[in-house]
Amino acid sequence: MKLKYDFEVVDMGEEKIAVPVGNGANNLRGVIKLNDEGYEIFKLLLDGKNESEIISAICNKYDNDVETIRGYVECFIKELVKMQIAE
Amino acid sequence: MHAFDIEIAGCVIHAETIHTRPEAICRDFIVTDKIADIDIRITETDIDVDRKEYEACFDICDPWEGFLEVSTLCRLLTNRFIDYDTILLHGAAIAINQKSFVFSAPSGTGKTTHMLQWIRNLSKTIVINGDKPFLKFCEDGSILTCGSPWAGKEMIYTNTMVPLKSIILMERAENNHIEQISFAEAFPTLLQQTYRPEDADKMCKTLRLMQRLPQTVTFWRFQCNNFKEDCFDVAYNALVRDQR
Repeated sequence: MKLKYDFEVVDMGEEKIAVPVGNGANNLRGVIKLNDEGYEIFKLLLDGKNESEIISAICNKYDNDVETIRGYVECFIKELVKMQIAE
Repeated sequence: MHAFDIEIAGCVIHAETIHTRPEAICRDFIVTDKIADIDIRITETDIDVDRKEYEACFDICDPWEGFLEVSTLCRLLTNRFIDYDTILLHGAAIAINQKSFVFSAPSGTGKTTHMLQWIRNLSKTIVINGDKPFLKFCEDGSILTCGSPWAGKEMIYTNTMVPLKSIILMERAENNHIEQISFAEAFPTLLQQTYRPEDADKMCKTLRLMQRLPQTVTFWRFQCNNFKEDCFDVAYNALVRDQR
């Protein structure tokens, strides 16, 4: 699973906005608004991490059980695939 | 090959084009005896890029090349301008008392109709550009709205640069209503109306420049019905009268 485009994340204070950049980016209409949790996952995707690496990295950072984090990550990634941002 | 020099947004551009149309369109921006900052030499291949886009957008086959080359020059210049801290925002830009306002929206929303209301109602209104003004981010932190010859069907423009005060995002509505919004709220629409280069580095630079906007510029959402009598007053009162 990987992102189909490169992204630049713009910090708006309360929220972050990921903007597609580079080849084919203009095919993707709109931007992705990210809350704090989404930003954490998205950053790891941008670094080329796979799903299990993302779950593991977030588990190390936050004091939450693995299954809850797995649920968040799977749901987030499923949404990106649905939006044709990830494949 | 036709060669001419123009000055736009404080930059001198040496252009070499295949047809005469671009030079004619740029007539109010022609300069002589100035050293060029940017060189642009248009080829058939460059024009082909715009031909494909034009045919896809408007379902018209084989448009006149001279006409297309005007768009090609705009596109190539806009790409180069990013290196000079200048970006293109799709919108109608006007100036009142040395402050500029850009009404931005997708085509067909009513930007030009609304701009004409300002000209009719306020004689001191100057049109900087009716369709594609450039925004120049200066070293001193100021942002200037700059005239350009690419000014839509009506071709209304002035060769001038005026400090940018507000960007107004227009949307069609039943009743006229205007409210100030945050940069975060404005950003997605603003980005859609900004020229977005294919090159990733240039796109990142565009985003960095855009992030300077909220330091000096206010953002507004204008729900607009140009056919209602209060349309100009609603915008004028919020943007100019109440901001004195």
